[in-house]
Amino acid sequence: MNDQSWMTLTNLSLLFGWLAVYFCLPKRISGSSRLIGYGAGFIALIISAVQIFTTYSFNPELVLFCIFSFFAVVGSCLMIVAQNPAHGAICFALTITSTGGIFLLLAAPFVMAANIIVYAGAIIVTFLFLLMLVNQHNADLADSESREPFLASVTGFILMGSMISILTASFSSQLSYGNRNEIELIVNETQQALSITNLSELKAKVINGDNYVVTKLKNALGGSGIWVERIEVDVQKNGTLVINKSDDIVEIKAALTSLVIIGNEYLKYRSLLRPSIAMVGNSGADPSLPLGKIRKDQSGRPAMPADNTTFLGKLLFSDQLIAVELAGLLLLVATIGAIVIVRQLPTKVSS
Amino acid sequence: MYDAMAYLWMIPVIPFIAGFITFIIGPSLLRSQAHLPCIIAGLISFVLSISALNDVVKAVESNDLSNPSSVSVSYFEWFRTGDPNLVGENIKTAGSLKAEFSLRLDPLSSAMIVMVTFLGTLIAVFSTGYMRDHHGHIDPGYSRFFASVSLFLGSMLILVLADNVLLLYAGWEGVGLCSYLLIGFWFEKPAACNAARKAFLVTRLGDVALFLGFALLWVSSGYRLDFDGLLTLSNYDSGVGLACFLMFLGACGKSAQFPLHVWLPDAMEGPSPVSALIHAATMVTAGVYLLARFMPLFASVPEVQMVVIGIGAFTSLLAALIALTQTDLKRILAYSTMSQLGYMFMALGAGIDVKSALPMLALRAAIFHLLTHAFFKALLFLSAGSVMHSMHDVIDLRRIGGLRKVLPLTHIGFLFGALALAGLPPFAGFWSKDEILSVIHETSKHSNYPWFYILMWATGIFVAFLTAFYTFRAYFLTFWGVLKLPEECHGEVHESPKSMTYPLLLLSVFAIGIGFVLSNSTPLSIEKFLGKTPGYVLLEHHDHDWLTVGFATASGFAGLLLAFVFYGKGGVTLSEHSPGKSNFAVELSKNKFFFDEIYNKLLIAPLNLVFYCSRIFDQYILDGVVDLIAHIPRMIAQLFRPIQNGLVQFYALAMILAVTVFLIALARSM
Amino acid sequence: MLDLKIYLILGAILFCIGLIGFVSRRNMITMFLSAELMLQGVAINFLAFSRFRGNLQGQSFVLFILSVAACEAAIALALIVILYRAKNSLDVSKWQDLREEDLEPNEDQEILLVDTFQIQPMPSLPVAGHRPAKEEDASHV
Repeated sequence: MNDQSWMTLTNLSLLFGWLAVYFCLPKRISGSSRLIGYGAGFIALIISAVQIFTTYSFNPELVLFCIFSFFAVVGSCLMIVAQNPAHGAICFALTITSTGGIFLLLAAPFVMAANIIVYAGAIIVTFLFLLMLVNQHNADLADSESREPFLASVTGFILMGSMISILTASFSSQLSYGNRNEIELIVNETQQALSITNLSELKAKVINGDNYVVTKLKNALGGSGIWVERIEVDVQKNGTLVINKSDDIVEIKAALTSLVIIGNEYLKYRSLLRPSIAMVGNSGADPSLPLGKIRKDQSGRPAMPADNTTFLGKLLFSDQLIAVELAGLLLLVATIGAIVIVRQLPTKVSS
Repeated sequence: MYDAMAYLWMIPVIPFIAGFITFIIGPSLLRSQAHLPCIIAGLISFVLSISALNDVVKAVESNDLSNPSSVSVSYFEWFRTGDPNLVGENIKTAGSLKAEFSLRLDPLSSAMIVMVTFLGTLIAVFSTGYMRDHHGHIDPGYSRFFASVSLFLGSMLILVLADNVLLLYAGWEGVGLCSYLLIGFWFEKPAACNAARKAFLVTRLGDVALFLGFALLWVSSGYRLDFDGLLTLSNYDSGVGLACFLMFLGACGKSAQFPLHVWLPDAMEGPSPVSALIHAATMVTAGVYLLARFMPLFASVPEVQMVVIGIGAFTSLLAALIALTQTDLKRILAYSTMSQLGYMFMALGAGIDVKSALPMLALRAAIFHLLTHAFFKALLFLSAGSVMHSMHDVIDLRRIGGLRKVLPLTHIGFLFGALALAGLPPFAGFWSKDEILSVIHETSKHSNYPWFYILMWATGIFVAFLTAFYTFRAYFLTFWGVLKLPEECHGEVHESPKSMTYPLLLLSVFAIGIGFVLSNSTPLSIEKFLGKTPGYVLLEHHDHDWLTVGFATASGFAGLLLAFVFYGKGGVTLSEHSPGKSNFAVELSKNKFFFDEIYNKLLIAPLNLVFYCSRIFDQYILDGVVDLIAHIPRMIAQLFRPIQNGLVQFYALAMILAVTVFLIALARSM
Repeated sequence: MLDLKIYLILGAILFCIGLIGFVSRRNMITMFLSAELMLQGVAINFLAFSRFRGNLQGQSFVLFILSVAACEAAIALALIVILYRAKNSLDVSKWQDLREEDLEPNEDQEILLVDTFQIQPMPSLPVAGHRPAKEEDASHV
């Protein structure tokens, strides 16, 4: 499936998803509209399933992913549309459990366990609160009405759509990030060419059939984006200046100089985004390694440390010890804070 | 060089210090003794002034050229602007100015400071009695009163002693301020407030002209500020006439001359000692002093001098006519003051020829009358204040009468003051008034317009008659006839306390004697003394003008007799209780010739119209535009204000919207 | 073979659904659960990156997220108790005092198409130690 049809199906699915959420969100005039919502949600899920099953090859991981993500998404949708907050809490429990499965798929068993323990506790407490606080004889109007359901759901789904489209574009084969090594090579070559004084020699150096330096750099930069735009503006003067047709050596050299500048800037800013060497420790693969050089498992994905939980413990209590201690302190402070907030003097209660 | 120059600066400074001390600690610490700093400072200044006068007298008598009778000393530099290299004599541009705190001691200023400090001290003593009620309780503003009086004394002494026009102007404004404070002393009374405002604003009109005159003098004299430079006629090439006219306008404001005279009668809302000190003896004579100081300049422009004498005569006649029918004792005295000030201006206006002796004669006559008038008019005001004090603030002549027996000492004081004012021999007013009329008579012989000066002279004689008449009308109505007390007294009358009556008696002595003592016939003659003032032509011996003396005395006696015939029995007055007999002339006089009404119609009403239009313009057009501009952001804000609805979820939604828009923009750019 | 993209998309979906719930629901407990749901979406993202990089740092990050979520739960539930005491309701719309002074309180602007809307009573727990009264018993007494 190409990107075009993928995005079309995604948009369709998002539309139905929005219809589902909008019609299911509690409104004073719910009635049959919930049914419409359920139908729309069903269609959206079908479309998503079609997308997934046509994109990825069938294997157990895919099945598990589909099951877990189905329950996670459906559970979360039911949670936000539930009129009874107690129902919402149960749906939330479903969501947490399903995301636990996703965590397992992502090779994070310890995180899965911690997540379920923490949220199970949280959900029990929430239930207690519901029993304590919710008006038990009449449903609260607040639960049967939403604030700006249309605007909120539209905004949320547009955000979701833009996120998905960005992700799609980022992972598409058409858009690739620049090849550092190649760019470095081209910049060095051009720099050497700048020292040549003979016009024909210079032309031969930079224009050599397929070896036209500007095209090479554009390709190396990924074919589109702001860096390529800069080349088009700064070097080619919006297409009016073509180096292989010009006979003015000064003009050619000026164009090549700005080409070198752009290439160097790209290398400089990209290097800023690289992870620091100091981060490397017990966490597994070196983050500074190129993706291709990471140790792979049989399925071709990067290999996680064999004893996942052990390594996580080592990582937490060595590299990130201070952060762990601070998190513990934060928990303590939050505990005390919660007590202080809830505690009230008897006179205040009476008033 | 006088010895007095060493301590001359203390004479104005000590009352200032006393004033500030009283302001600061008077209400809290001194309370009923708040008069002490003022009286002590007045006494010290008086003693120093006497000593300074003594020095001047010695210098004048020695007649020694190496010992000039006029000395000025600069104590410190007051301020300086412009190029510091161009100072003093070198200043030749309008951009540079150097003013010094310099005082000047000469016969004119020494005579003035003695008079001011003496009367100031005496009136302060009188006030200690006047500012208490009959049980001895002090007025709530007791310390404020004496602080203001002290400041007034200081300002007046600065005015008199100043050696440059800027310092003189500072003193001039200082006395104006103190006058405002003291007229409005009982500021709870709306009448007092209005009177204070009126006085301040009307004199302000004159002050503007005065300042312009000073500025013109400064420019046309080659940027001189000191009197020696300003009074040298050779310094000027042009502009003297206009400058003199402007200065005369300023003097008109301060000395209540037509057309700026309307504030003085209203100023009687202030306490009586204030009326005596400021509005009879000292401040209102500042205009006369100013013109006397600039006499050499005025004498060189006979056209302005004709204006001066004309305005003086007109004011004098006008005030005398108004005074005829007034029933408020203090107002009669106020109009009388205006009238006498008019007399002084008449005298000053008579000095027309620089080369002749006339300016000197005119100046002597004016200053002589200024001094005698200060004493007897202060006496009259203090007597009126004493009457007022005893009558529980009632001085309406229709409601009081026959007080001769119950207020014997006050009666004596008022009688001598009235005799002096009426110009009857041998009392003080006789000598000085004759001097003035003689000078005018003399001038008419030298002028190109003799008929004009003859007319002035005749006016003077007629005003003398009117003066005698209205003075004794007030006297007879107050003290003669059947005893008539206002109901506020509840039938009980006491003579005023000694602190009030002793100054009255002392002043009575002066009212009787000072005219003779200072006249030509004695060694203390003010004429010879003032004659040594530099810049004036020395005068040969000058005979009495017997014609004038005869006419003036006769008119005085005629006025007295006429008043006796009409009012000798006291009681019911001619016009006030018989409306049927009133005619146009009486109405005109009673209503002060409708000057206030005319000013209201001619000046204030058009100005009010302008104000009204400006207010409309400001309120609806200017403010409207500003409000409109201010409304635009408000309207824009009104569009967005509902966003602030306090719902946290709504805010979260807005955040998400923004993030979404940002993400979409990012996705499009990829 | 599943790739990184599909896991990230799943995280994004969970995140956005939580977002919609947080923005549109008025019950404070439901809002709190929605916030937790958003955290779950983020956690899936971290774990997916961790898996496809062969690096455990993502997992450790999720553990920190868990601890922060626990703190958040404690504080949030405490606050809910306080707020419930003040207004005797879990409705977050009762708290809109931060609005502009002269604005009217925000009422629900949804048009009520059906007048006969009835709020369904909640199923309620019986008092401990008592036999719950049967419906027909209650009606006959």
